[in-house]
Amino acid sequence: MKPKTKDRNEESKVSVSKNALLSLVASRLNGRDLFPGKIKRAREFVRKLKQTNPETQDQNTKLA
Amino acid sequence: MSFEVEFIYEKREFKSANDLKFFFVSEGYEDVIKAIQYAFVDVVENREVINLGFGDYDMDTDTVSDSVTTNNNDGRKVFNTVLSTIPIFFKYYPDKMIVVQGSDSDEDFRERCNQNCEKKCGEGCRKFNQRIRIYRTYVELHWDVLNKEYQFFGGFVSENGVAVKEPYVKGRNYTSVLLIKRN
Repeated sequence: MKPKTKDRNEESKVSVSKNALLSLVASRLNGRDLFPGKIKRAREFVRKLKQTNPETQDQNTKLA
Repeated sequence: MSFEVEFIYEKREFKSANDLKFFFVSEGYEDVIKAIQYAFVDVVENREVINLGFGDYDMDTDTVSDSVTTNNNDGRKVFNTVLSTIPIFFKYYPDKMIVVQGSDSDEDFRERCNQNCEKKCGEGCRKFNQRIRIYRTYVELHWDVLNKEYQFFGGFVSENGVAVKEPYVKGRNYTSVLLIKRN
């Protein structure tokens, strides 16, 4: 008989601890801009785009 | 855009008023926590533009970096996992536009790379735009399928500083890929 590589209980424990870990990470990073450099560059690109094409100008809103 | 479950990692989703985040563990040579964030940029043509950011989370320093090269032997699966969040994003926000850029496409990248990289490619830096090229290659390879569901645009800033956003043309050296969901 071939040895089992992973017990089903063990697999579920791993999955639970992985979920717990990711929840911890999410709570640590809650409310933070994770990629401020990229956002800044994207904003700069949009600003230039609006300069070039004034019809692209709009009122600002937020992701909700 | 759909993926077989064995080719993507299981991810956890966290939605707030300000952003949409996903986290997963890349299980290659080592376990690496990956973070994906959709965050507001600006409004263009009455449409909110949302940046798709992706990087590694470091537990020790409590920071996320989008400039590291992990070499964890699971790049394809990681990339597929990132892409698998796009339909989820559009399920929540069908009217918004996603912008994707590489962390190696900014004007200073070549200079920084030439200071540290052994290859010393100079102006022809091979790492420049490498990350966005991966997205572009994917879009172009799967164009027929993706183009039915999404409308793509290419973005770049010309040498004289003029920003351009145009309907996506295959083979063009864009530094940004933008997409909206077709109705």
